[in-house]
Amino acid sequence: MTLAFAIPTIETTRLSLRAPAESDLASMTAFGASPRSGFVGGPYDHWGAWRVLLAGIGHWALRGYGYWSVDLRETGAFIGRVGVIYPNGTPEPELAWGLFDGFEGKGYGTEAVLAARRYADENFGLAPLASFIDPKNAASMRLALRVGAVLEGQMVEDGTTLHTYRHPALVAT
Amino acid sequence: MTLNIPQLETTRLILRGPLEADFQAMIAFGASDRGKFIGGRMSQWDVWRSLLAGLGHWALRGYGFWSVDRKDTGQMIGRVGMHLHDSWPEPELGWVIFDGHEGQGYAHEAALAARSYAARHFGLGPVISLIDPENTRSVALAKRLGAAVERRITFFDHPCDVYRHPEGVSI
Repeated sequence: MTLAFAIPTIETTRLSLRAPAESDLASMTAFGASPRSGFVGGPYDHWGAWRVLLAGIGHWALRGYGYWSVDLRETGAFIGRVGVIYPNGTPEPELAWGLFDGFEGKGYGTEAVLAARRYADENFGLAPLASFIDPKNAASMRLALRVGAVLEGQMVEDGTTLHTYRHPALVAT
Repeated sequence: MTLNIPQLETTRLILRGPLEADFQAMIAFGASDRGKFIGGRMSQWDVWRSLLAGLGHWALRGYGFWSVDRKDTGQMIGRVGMHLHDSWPEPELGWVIFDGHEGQGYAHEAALAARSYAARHFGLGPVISLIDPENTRSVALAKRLGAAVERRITFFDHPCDVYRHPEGVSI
């Protein structure tokens, strides 16, 4: 089979959302070793980070959407991942995000999530999207509320109860 | 990016691109003891990541692992192909055959087809296989494929023999 799949680049005021690259591995390994990764499939070691990187690309190939790597436009620093994922066995596609250590609290998460959501609404036809958030992950819940998502209910994933947040659908432009 | 996964056919087998429909067969294998030489038992989540990672490898490197089906039953019986993961010494020919399908020459047939295709079309060869010396089945297959031990390395904290295959174009 031959399948061309596009991973678009999205630019915001301060950020660039781009395709995952092999050179992302060191940052992803560092993130996998940090407690912050526990809410997004971690912790994982170097090998695990490599699998996560490959799987991220494979997700785009299989579903036509997936995680972008997020860079700061000013410095080129790779600061996290945002995108839409739909693992087999989960109830619906999810708008998900993870910011690396040291880049929180500057509004980057909000900026990246809004850009990814707008792109997904306009191009993937998945609106209104859900986000599944561990209630212990206060920063992510704040971000969900900030971008206008509302708590809709709960779901259980791998034995963990997660809160389902529902995003507003994009108003037609 | 492009995913370009050729389909190969042997006497009894089809080597094809991974599909989401492979998930259940891969979960069953991941939960069995037979995965112990290739990273151990896997949860459903690990298996999902593995399926996606297999596709991602094709996209990133232009080669990867095929899913192997029996032509007569259509059943998926394993995976074979070439991979070059981060921290791998060089591209590796690897194989796994699921429970109940061993001992019938399927791995040999699939590995020969994959090796030959990799030599002709990916420019890979002579390739290596990395095998735990306790994995007697895989050791036997490597020898049957004409590969020989070149050196022993420590790989993921385990002793591991590097088998060197003959130049791949054999069929």
